[in-house]
Amino acid sequence: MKKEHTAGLIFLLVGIYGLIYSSQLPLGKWNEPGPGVFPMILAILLVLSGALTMVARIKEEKVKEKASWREFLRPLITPSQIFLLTIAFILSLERIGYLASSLLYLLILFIWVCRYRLPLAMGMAAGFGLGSWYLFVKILGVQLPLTVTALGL
Amino acid sequence: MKRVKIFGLVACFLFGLTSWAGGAEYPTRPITMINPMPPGGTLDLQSRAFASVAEKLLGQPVVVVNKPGATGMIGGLAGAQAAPDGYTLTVGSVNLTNAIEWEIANGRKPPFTRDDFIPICSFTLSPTLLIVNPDSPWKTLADFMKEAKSKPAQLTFCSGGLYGMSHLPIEIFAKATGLKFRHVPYSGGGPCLSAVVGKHVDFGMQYPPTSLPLVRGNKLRVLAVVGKNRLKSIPDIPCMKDMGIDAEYYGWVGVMAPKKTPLPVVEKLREVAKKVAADKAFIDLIEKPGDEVHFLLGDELTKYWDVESEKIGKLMVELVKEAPKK
Amino acid sequence: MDFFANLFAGFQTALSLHNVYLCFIGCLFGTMVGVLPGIGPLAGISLLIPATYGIDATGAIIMLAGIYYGAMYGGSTTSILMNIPGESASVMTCVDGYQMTLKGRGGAALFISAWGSFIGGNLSVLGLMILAPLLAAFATRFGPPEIFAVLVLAFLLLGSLGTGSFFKTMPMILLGMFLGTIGMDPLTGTLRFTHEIRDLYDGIGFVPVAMGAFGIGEILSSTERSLVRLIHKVKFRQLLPTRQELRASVGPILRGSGLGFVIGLLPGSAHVLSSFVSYAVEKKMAKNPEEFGTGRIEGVAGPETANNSATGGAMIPFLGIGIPTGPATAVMMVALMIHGIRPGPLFISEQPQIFWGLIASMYIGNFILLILNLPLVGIFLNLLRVPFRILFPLILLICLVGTYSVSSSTFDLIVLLGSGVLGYIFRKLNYDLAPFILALIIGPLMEYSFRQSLMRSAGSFSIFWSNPITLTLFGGSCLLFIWNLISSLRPTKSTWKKALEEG
Repeated sequence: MKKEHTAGLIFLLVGIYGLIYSSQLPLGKWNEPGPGVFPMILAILLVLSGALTMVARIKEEKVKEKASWREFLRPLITPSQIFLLTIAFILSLERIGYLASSLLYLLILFIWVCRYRLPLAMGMAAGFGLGSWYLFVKILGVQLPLTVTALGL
Repeated sequence: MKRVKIFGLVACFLFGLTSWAGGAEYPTRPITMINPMPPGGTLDLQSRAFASVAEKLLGQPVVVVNKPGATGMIGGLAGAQAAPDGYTLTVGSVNLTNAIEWEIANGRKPPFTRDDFIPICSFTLSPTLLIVNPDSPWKTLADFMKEAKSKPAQLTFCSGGLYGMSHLPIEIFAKATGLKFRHVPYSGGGPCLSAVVGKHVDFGMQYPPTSLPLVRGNKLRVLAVVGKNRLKSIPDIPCMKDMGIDAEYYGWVGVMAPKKTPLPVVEKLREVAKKVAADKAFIDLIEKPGDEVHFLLGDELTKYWDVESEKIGKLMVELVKEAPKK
Repeated sequence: MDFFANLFAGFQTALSLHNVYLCFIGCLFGTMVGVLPGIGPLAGISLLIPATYGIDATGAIIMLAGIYYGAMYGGSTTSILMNIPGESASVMTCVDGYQMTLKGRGGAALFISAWGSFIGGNLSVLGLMILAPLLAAFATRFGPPEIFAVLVLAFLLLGSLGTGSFFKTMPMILLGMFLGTIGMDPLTGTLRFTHEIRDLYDGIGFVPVAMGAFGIGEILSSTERSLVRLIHKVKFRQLLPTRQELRASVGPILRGSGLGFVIGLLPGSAHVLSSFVSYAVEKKMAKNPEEFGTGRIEGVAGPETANNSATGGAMIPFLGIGIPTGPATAVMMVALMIHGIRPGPLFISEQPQIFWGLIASMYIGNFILLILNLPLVGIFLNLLRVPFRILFPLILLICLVGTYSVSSSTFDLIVLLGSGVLGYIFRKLNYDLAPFILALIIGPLMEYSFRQSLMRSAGSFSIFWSNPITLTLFGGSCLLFIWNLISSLRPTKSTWKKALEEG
């Protein structure tokens, strides 16, 4: 089954990464372990379990209908959109400030992902964006980027 | 060094002129103070004490914000990179020095240096106290040192963190006396105190505000003050100088501004700081827990900081050399 | 005799209008802070410290304590309703709580969690009141070897958290522990896996990972198909638990109170540890443990009670001796010191009006919180009526802001998103996230206390069996280990079925 293969692969890869880098760390003595010991043990165990996971399933792989690529990728569309938008938000947060970023973020999410019409999306984005700003900055007193200079408050 | 500073001051002055042209009297909005240490420590306490009095004098709220991480490096970096408009200050302390010198000693370029800051003032200069469990056999420092000499590298001590404010004084003491101890690092002053109280280690060095209440409650015993003078609150305890040991380490807490802050703003802050240090409420806040107010303004602090950095820098280099490398 | 007089005086202090008002504000703020993902009690307390400058010491600590345990009430709300842990202690509640919401039993879960929190909170204040001086000293006897022993026990319990077989849970635990090693090693200062990224020096934060893996991962996977979600029609009857659910909750609540209180005493992440130990214990004691993870009320009642009762336990070393064992109590100590009070071993005897006033206010606070939270159940459930299409962008935004507000670090936001993707991937691969997230905390703690112990004993392993506490704990671990082996070798009917189904 594809699932276990992927999972096993992930463990294996992380384990190998761990092995490479933890071997560069000081290992210390038997009764005074250095910083490299634990990561190395964990890495070895990860490699083992990754390999085992991958191998154990090979035997039991039933011949299933190979799902088409499109069927596999289709459900990934929306999550990918969300992912991209969130990255955009993260990158713009400290550059254009919270208010602007959040308004844009919500707006684009509402329009592109949730398929709302423009006026409704704008209204909701404005409402929730401002509302959240008010809640966090005014009521909770949290420090958010450029909130002060953005509105000179 | 000096030339750069003068040039810097002139630049600040010019810069300051331009911002003067811009607006109203500083401050016109709330001021943030970044505390690079996790909440709940001495820095938190003293910086909040400062903030509570300063905000009355400045007329604007002064809020202490914690930005902990990497023994002060993350918060320090944020402070160094903050906009030099006087609205984001940093709670400076000996931790900044520790962090900078630690990076240098390890051959790495520190994320920020002393030059990235303009010292406004410092208001405490607390020595550490050598604390042991009250059930231990040593009643005086001399007893303790005798035992340490007879059992090299067997007595254990705790610290709040590697190469931090409670580890370095012990190393300084060890080097000054030629004694050897075993180090068990803990994470923070609280766990460290707990370790001495719980008899998990033989001794430690911590600061007055957090140790003295435990001493009064008979959970700790102080053997010495690691500094040049005795403390007012425990006049019977000898200081290192009395015993002829050249060991001193002070944790100082103060306020810093980013390096390009305009001069008028710096001047105003220094003025306010002086008033805060003389304010009775502030003095109470610092002295009640057992500490003492020791005020250093602007250039005095710069001078002190330079001297301290050199000493700590040298210490760090030695420590790094001695650290086990496998 | 003295005792009751003190308590009575305490109530007189706590019931003054001024103090009740402050208690209420604290509880309200705490609930808000708990509900909002990312901002935890620590941030809440730090935020309100300036507000305490003008008040007297008793009032100040009453308010701050209110935030502390109030946050434990609020944290369960988002965990149950949206699978987003409000803060670290609520992670375990997500597992079964959210499943209950999906089944339409969200109201019942919230109801029971409010009551569990109330009972746990009160019982722990009772314990605090009676046992503070005694237990405070006991808490300091827990050094690195003892802590390590406790963590080994916890680690063995971790293994039983997963819904699948041991071999599926183990790699996730290993992964979590491995990620936990990233950062500066606190014992030698060596940088591990940081690759010159300064934000990694302190390691990967738990809060962004938990919120990301659970909350954002959940959103990413539910947006796969369609954006129209089943809106549960909330009937009033559904707000209340069934008699069966109530009966099933009694045991977990009582056990959770005890466990939480004891674990709260220990230094470190008491809340997280107590909630997950409670979950693991309930799972072990249940007749059908494989149903855990599909919406068992015990999996909500136990952890929620435990994390509230841990607050009482956590305040003991702080009030009894003056040594705070966790960040929240450390901040409370600073707040007290700003008011000129020095918490120390003599605190209880020297400042009885503060101590007893605080105790009394904690009873009152728990009561206020119960009254606050029960109606909120209805309100929050109605939130679920909001179409998912509108709700999830908001949830995303709040998670992002919540994380940023704690550390002001863009890097943490990246961790948040990254964990979301990771959580999404593992969800698709059918692997459990809870063991992974908890291992992130427990792993480094285990390594730390293990190496610390050896540093103390100069390399001698005998430190691990040299005193009664460690002996008892290690003995317990061995028994648990043997029990695990036996029960896995003797499969029940349901595990056979599952094994066949899994292929």
